[in-house]
Amino acid sequence: MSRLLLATLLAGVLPPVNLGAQTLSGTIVAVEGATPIAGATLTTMRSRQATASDRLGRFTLTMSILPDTLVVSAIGWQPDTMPIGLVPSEALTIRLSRAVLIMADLLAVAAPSRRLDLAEHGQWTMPLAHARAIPPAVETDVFRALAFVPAVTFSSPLSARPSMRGYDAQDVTTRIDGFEILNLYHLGRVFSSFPADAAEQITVSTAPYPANHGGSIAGIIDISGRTGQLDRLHAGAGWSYGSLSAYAGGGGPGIRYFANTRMFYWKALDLVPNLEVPYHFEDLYAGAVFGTPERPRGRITVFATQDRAGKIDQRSYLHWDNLMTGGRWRILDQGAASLEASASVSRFTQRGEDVPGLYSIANTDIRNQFSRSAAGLDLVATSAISRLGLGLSLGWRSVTNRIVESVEIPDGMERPPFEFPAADLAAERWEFGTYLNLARQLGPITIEGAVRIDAAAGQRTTQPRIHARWAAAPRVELSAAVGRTSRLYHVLSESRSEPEFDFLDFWLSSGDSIPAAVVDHGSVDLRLDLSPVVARLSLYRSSGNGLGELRPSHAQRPTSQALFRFGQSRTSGLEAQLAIRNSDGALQSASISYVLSRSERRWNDDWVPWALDRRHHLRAFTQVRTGGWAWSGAFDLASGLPVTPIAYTLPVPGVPDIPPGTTASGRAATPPVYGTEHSAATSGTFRFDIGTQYSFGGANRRRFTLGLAIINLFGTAVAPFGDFMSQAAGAYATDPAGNSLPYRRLFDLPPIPTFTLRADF
Amino acid sequence: MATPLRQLVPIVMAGITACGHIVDPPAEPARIPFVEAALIAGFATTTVRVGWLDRQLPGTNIPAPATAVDLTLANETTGQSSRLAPHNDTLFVATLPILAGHRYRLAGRIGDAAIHASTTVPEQFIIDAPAGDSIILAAPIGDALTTAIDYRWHAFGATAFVVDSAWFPPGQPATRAPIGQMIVARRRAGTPIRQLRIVAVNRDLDEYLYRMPAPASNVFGGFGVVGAAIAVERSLVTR
Repeated sequence: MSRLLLATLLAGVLPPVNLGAQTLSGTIVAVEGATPIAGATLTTMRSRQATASDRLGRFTLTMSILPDTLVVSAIGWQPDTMPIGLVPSEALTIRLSRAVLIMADLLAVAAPSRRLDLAEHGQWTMPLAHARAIPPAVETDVFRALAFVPAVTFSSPLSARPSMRGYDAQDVTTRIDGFEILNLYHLGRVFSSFPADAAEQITVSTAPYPANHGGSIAGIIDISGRTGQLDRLHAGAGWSYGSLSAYAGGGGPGIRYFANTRMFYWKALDLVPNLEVPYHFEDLYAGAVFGTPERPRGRITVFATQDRAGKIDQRSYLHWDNLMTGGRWRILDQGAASLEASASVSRFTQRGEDVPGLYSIANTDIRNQFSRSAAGLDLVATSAISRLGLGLSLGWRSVTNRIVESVEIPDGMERPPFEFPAADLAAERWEFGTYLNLARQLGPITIEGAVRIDAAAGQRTTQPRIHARWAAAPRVELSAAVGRTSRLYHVLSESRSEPEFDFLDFWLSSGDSIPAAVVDHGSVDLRLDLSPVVARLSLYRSSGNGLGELRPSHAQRPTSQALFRFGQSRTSGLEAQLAIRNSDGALQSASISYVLSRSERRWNDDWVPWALDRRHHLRAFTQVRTGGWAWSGAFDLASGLPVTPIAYTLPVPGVPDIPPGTTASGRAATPPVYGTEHSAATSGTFRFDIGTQYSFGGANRRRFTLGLAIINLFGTAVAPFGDFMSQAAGAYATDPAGNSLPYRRLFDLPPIPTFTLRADF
Repeated sequence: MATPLRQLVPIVMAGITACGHIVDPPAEPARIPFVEAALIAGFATTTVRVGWLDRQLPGTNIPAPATAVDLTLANETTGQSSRLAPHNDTLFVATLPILAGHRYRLAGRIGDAAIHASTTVPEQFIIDAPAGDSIILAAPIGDALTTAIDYRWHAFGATAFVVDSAWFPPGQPATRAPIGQMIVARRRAGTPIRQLRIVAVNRDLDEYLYRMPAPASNVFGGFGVVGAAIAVERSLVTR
């Protein structure tokens, strides 16, 4: 697109610009190494204009009054102010220093502003420095760290699979540097496959998120990777029970690069005679930023991971690979307008034989491959009081989804030529998305109206979204959003299988027999900064159609899809988060959050609780730093998960006139007849974690950090319950009178100590 | 004034003592109606098991006395119907031709409870292999205890197959595969001809009989199944 054409377009859309206004552009980087700082807020004190830096730290701000003072703030960085007398002709570079990060900072980092970008509504940003402060299980994990975010829940202490505001993790899209990736877990879904050492920050955006994103029903988790420092080689390594990790970065004025790799080192025991560890994984993240530190032009990202479990020669194995590469480049970078192109390729592959499968289809042979290539253009144009966003994306999705029941062949017998498939799909299709959003500032209120259209395989959804923010007072901000999210395909897997391997993914394209998932959301956020107390209150509600899940064993009514079921959703909730920080030294902090939520589904006639619905959830974190020591504690008290009671059991004889022997192997001798779905619940779970870190340094900026943590200190965490036929291994439940019930915990979790060691150079 | 740590102690203790229970189980009815029936294409009568499932008697069904059962089987395609008559202490019989491809509905009352269920009879069952009316087995060699028979068949309106006196590798009583092998017990040469009954069941029966780990029911107001099947017979001959 020529610049003349772009200017013509903008002239037709944007309102008249104050001729006195001038555009200030620049980049926010770290003092050390010029690492770009994304998501920083810039506010002018006199004119009350505001903006935010993008993924490469770049910003553009319209200065309507001069001179003015620019205030820059970002989570994890020391705020800075800068007088602006005249708008410089060159791009401005603002350098921020690292701040000692405390948990209270995550609730309200900036004073209420008049940013035209409304993405902060329903959003939490967590620098990895904060994630490390949360007592880790085995090692710091980018997903588990989200336990601090009230909108995120996990099915159990062994799950790293984040559910969001009453919707399953399968309805949440995960991204690395803005590029979509599927199943960012290692086997068992206990840990994320993204190495913590490679992460700069994690951002959680709840629905309805801004219209420039699509393809997710419930929300988006975006992991931003680290960037190399300018003119300085920096490196580090980390050790935990489970893995070794190492990173290095550096660069010069034209390019900064960073790479991190992580591996499961127990595989090295294979070197010991007669010892074989039938599992290993390796992860790789690498990225490079191009252009001058003052004005980067683009970025490329590469992520790859592989898991190898079992033995392929014994036809009992599971291979699990993820590969993603993406890049974005700013084609046009003028003061008030920018045009960015992006492209990515991702591929998730899952291959295995005799894989312990879902309870409903026994062990399975798997050939799954989900790949997607996508390209997009995003145009942003701003004036002093308005902002236009326009974009389109085109993707090519290719899916092979074959899951068949494993057949154990007796000696001397040939394998049958045909196996009944639970899934047998080979599909390819184009996917198209486009959006338009317009934001305008009306005094202390900023309103954004947007519409997004997604289309694929003859299906199309239109998703209107409205965001509004009111900077009610210097320390009070109220924002609200209503909007629709949709996804034109389903990736269905078992919602609470951890730590079992039975998390097969079934890919289903919406069409005549498979509905598209469409959910309408509404939410309100109130942020208060009454230092030393900061608070955040959120209310949300949603109503949806076309939600899918694997049909659980207790669903005893046949559906049109033998393995799946589709229905409606409705959720509502309140999230209150309060934090207190030491006002003088800022080295002590405590936060507490309470969530009251309800999430229900209607699969047939009646609304029933969602499988992971927890009504009450109370979480608290505390953090104290003294010298080189940092102490932290986490407290988690939640009401129980739903359980479907067994009401009756069937007699053995079988159906008249059908040959006997009809009780299939793997089924109970007297099969259960379940009562009302999810009409009972476990009584709740409580967990207390504690951790400490000691950092010490030396010459040449070396720094070492020793970490010790114990999660589930009192051994009280209660795993989800399965019925007597599940692969449960934990204690049996009892009724309030102490009588044993046919339900048992999927596992019993003892206190888990963790010891870590890190070195950064 | 209690320190924060002391305030935490009772909360922790409450949490510890509360964990591990199942709470709020609803009051399910003491017993629910129970029905099992398979409508076989070509049959003139259908046998129906009728009773109750009782919470206090797991694994059994309480037979329903004739006075408590008022059920009618109707052919929704032709409009013909038949009221169930008692057959013995646990079974009832409906006298109504079962026609391939037709849809049937069983409805009425068991005690005070109204139940209903519908099902469609499979249309056709075609066996491509083994071909012919007889399955010729060669005399067993050595000490093998079983003989494998290759099969290839398909049925319109059926989802699973079961054969009396045969099973499917690795020991399943039924299969959903239209091509494969079934296993029969070894038979000596000259053993008298035996009839092998191959039954193709529709999805309602499949979900009830073979779904793991728990059966699915298509009976509204109670539990059980009203399903349908189509069957063929082959003679098993050993030479």
